[in-house]
Amino acid sequence: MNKMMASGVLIVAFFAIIAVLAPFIAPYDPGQIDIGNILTGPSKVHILGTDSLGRDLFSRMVYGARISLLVGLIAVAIAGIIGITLGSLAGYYGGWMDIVIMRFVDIMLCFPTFFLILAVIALLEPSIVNIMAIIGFTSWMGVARLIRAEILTLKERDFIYAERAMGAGDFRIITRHLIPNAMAPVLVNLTLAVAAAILIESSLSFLGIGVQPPTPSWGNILSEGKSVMGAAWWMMLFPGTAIFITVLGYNLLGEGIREKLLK
Amino acid sequence: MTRYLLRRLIGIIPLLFGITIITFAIIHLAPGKPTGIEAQFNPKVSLEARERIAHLYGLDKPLYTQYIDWVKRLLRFDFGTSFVDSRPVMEKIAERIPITLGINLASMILILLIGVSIGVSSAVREGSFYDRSMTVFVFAGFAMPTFWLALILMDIVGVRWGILPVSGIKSLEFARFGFFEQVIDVARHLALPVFVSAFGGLAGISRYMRSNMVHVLRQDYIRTARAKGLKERDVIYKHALKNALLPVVTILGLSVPGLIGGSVIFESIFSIPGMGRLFYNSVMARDYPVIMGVLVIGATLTLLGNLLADISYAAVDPRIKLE
Repeated sequence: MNKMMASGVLIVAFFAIIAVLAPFIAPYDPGQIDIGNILTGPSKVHILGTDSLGRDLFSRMVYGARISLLVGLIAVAIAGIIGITLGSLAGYYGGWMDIVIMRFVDIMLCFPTFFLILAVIALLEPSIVNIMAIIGFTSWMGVARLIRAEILTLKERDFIYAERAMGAGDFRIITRHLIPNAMAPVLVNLTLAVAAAILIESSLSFLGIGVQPPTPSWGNILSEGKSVMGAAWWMMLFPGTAIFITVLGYNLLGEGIREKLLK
Repeated sequence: MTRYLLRRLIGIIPLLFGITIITFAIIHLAPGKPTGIEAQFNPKVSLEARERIAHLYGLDKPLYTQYIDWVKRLLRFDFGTSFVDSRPVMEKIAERIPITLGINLASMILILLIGVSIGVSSAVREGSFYDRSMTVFVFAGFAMPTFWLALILMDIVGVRWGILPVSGIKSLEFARFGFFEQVIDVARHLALPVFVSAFGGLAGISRYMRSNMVHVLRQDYIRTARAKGLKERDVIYKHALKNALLPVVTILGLSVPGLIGGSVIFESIFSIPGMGRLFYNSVMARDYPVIMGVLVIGATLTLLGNLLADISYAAVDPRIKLE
């Protein structure tokens, strides 16, 4: 394991543990309003301070880690499934299927992703499930391109001919031989995609069309932080730093994997 | 070159067709259809507005007729009228586009200038302390949430120090300024938005530039250039840079959708009346004609951006046309 990967794993694991153990780590109920303690700075009682409803910022951030992780991982899982399926179909069968699928990829890439996501949210409601689905459905194109390119070269290799000579069907060849062998660059792409998904979710929540309050997410805490700018620095500093470090973690992990697997 | 150009131009026709299909599908197949049952209880969409959209899109006709009619109107640049103020969508978008494109162009130039310098200087000093600190900077750039950076700069530079304005693109007394003052005024308003918009893209370009340059510096023709006694400066800036710079054009083209998409964020934060903010406001108001219009135009702009990048690449690199 190289340095980049190690620091990536460390950061990712740190936030994953916080997310999983949130109820045990958070000292307060993240929704507990305390009118007597509005916008108090970091102290021994509230280590990261309180927000404009007197809720404990640290507890809200801990639960916010859950949202980020959940949205990031599930969105990328959706993108991965779509991208791997379409990419391997295009690469393996070629011909018109390749043309249709790759043209579809080209078209999807024309849309500014953020516009597409906003437009769909305008039609659906901004729930966590919808956000995960929308991010997933708009970020599979890179994976599809990568896996197609890998399979194009892999399918001409001897072991694939041997497998076919032994009577293996298309489905078996694709799922048991081609996809596993093509996964290295895809894994890098998917790890980086988690970072991108977390950034998109927090941007959406910040703009008020992502995770809706009172459910805490780093993005919507920052949105509140904007409205109390100048009066409560902790409302802007901590959630921003959390997003920054988490995204950095997945990026480091992705680049670390790239260095290890592809060089 | 003419044949290449022609081939590329014909190639965008199916893509434009696809863009309209997807936009049409999004607006029609999503459960919250503009005239659907949900909208009846949505106070943001009035009865009149629903009737207007039903008429506009001919929702009583079969789906393919609706699509064909819509595309026919698109070809005449008729995007319908906005629900919010009944103005033609095309007019609303047209007055916003120059602002968004201007900011994006400025940030692209900034990205190119700074990104290329960082990339080249890192590659030349590969493995040095400078190179490693630039790598750290690049990683930080990748991970920085644009809106957080915008907020921090707004808070520190705009509010605490009070050096730069933090909202809009011109001062209230803009009309009374002389020409020179007007230019300065706009520049001061756009400094933060352009910087924020450029920051994210900077990381990508400088990293890409660095790896290109490292690769080029190991080529035989660079060794030849050094062997024939050229000054190191000429080797790097005349021989290596030219070759390493080429693929950056394509990457810059590919970054267009990200830049345009990102405009939603910084235009909302800095209250800039551009296309991103128009889109955001339309989404909040469920102004479907404007949403569809911006989607189609945004995608078309991206398509043209990529085409332009490819053509300029082909213009400077003769190998491309042969493929």
